[in-house]
Parts: sequence; structure tokens; C-alpha cells
Amino acid sequence: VNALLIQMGVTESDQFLRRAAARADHGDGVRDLALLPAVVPLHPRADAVDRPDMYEAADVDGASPFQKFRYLSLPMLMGILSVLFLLRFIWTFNKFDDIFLLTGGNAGDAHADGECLRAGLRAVEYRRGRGGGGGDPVVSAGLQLVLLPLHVEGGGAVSGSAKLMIAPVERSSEQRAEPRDGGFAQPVRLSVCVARAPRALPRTYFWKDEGDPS
Amino acid sequence: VKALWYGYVTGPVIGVLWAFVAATALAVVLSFSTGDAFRPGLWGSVVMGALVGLAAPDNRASWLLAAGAAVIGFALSYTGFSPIHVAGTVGVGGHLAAGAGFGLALAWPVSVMMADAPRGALDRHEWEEAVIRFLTGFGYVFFTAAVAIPFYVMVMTSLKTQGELIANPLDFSIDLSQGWALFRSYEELFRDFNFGSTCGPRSTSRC
Repeated sequence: VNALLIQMGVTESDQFLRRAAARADHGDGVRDLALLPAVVPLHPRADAVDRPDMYEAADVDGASPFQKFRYLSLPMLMGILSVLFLLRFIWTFNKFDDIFLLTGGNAGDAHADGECLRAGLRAVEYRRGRGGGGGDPVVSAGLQLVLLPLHVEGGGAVSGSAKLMIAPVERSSEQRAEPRDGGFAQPVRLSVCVARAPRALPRTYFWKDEGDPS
Repeated sequence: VKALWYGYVTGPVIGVLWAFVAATALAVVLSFSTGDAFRPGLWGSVVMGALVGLAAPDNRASWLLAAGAAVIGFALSYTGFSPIHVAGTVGVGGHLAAGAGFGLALAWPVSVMMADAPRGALDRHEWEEAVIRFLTGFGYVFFTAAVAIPFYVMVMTSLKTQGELIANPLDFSIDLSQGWALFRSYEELFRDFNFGSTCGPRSTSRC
């Protein structure tokens, strides 16, 4: 899409959408909400709208097209719309780890201008059972429950809310070759990143490497 | 809103809005299917959309309107005033697809949207009918694109090599002349990587 936008002259920088991708935890949600009406007709409950008798009655009463939509179609769709809205909202939050693992939560060179400071909790490592690619959801959820409310105040200059993300560390070939060892082979690094508030609040970056943020 | 309740106001407004939709959609489709450069043009779209929207109400020969719009769109595609700007490297076929295609994609739907609307004053039903037809058409285009394009990209990239993808990321065409060789990635996936089997090179269980 970046290439297309460059060719169309919309943007000259290939960073355009990468920056958006860094905020994809928001953008993804917007797109999902935009897609919502597309999934509605797929649901059996949406058949409730297929009631020609009601629309005939509305025609007899002189209802306009907008009125038929607002007072017939929409109320009948409201039940399934609510369910789908809620579910998609929840699922969207679950995409957070996809985006983090794909982009590192960063936009290209975002490290350079990201106002992201590591909190004292960096590089807590723990081990999880061998298996799938993602973090252990139970451990992850537990840690986030404990750490997310953490409010970090540092030296007067930095204040903001801490966010936590867990990413599997790339395993070395020796580790990969290692035989199964009771289900504890994949180290997972835990980093905590503090966004400087309020300037950088929309852009929360996550620290992935050991580099010095300053 | 009542200031809009005239065929000669609603028509051009819907025409211009639909021209943006048609120009953008067609430019994207052409860019993706040919790998050449097409981009929607603002003022060409505005002028052609307004003219077609003005002519659409009370029009008994919508095919004539569509044909006229196609011819004008084709002619404009060679000027700087075109609804879809076409790169200099593109031949007549590209201009025909962009210009004439835009004319058809503009005039035919706008004729349908304005079919029941007279040129003069509109009542509430006529106006809302035209607007709701525009919104329906926009919804079809928007949601079809949102669903179809990512899916097509997924399939298309699986039929290309990494080199082909990097050479021109905008070339969304599939080289059908390769025949069965198109499916080489799938062959490798199942043969060399034992995809779907529990005994792949990365499998963790004993097998």
C-alpha cells in the first residue's frame, strides 16, 4: 500500500503507513469497526430484516427511504449489531500481540525519535513451555494484570503509564536443536516501556533491544 | 438540506462524489492488475462528475450518456485534466481502460441513482431514494475492496517468488504463462517442509 500511495503521489515517504502501523493497535480497531457492517449480513439473525410485509406497511404509511432504514432496518439489526460490535472490540484487543511481534511496536526508525524510556523492570526473563510461537496467554495476562496499572514517576521529567509487552526471544540454533527438556526451553523477555505523557501518548513504543534510549 | 432538493443540485453533488469513488477504485484496480502507474485526478473527476450528474436526471437514453462520458474520459486521459492520470509509459489500451472505463463507471451508476429524480424540485422520497442508492453503491465498492483486496494479495503473493515481489511491489498481476510452475511455493511447502504433518523440520513432538 505504501508503494501504491507513493506512486499516486499521496506521500513521498515510505514511512507513511509504517508510522500508522506503529499505531496499528488503534488503526486495526478502526478498520475492524469499519468492517462490521460487512459481517452483519452473514449472520443468520440478519434475516430478521428480510420482512417485506413490514416495508410494505411502511410504504403504505408513506415512510421515506431514510425513515425505513432508521425505524425498521436499524432497530431489527440492533441485537446482532451489538453482539458483533462487542465481539469485534474484544478480538481487536487480542490482535495487540500480532502487531507487536510483526513491527516490534516500532515504525521503521521510530527508535530514533521515540520518546521511550525503559523502566527499571526491563529484561525480566522467564521461561515458558515449548510449543506455539506466541507468549503464554495465562502468564501474559497475569503479568499484565499486575503491571499495567503501574504508574511510573521518574526524576520529575518523565511521567506516564507503563505498558507491558511480552515477546518471545529469537532462539539460537543450539537452543532449537536442544531436545525437549520438560517443556521449559523458550525464554521470553519482558520489557516495560514508558511513554512520556502527554506528548507521546498516541505513540507508545516498545523497547525491544538493549540499546540506550538516549 | 432542503436546498439540495433539486435534481440539478443533487445530481452534480452525487455525480462528483461518485466520480471520486469511481476514479479511485479504477485507478487502484488498474494499478494492481497491470503494475503501471494510474492515479485519480481531482479536477477531471470534479468536472466530469458534475456534468454527468447534471445530465443524469430526466435522462431517457442513459446508454448515450455513458457512451459520451466514456469518449470524453478517454480524450481527457491524454490531457493534464484527466479524471485518472495515466503514466507516460502506458499505451492506448491503458488510456482506454482508464478514460473510457471511468466514463462508464461514472455515468452508468449515476444514471441509476438519479433514475427516478426529476431535474427540478424533488420531494423527500425522490431525494432520499437517490441518496440511499448512492450510499448503497458506495458501500458495495468500499466493503468489496476491504474484503477482496487483502485476500487477493494473499493469494497473489503466494504465486510469486520473493524476487518478483521485490522487483515491483505494485505488480499485482499473476503470470499465468508459467502454468503449474505458479504453484511451486505450495509444492515446496508440502514436499520440503512437510506442512500439515506432525513430522516437519520444526516439529517438537516425537514422530
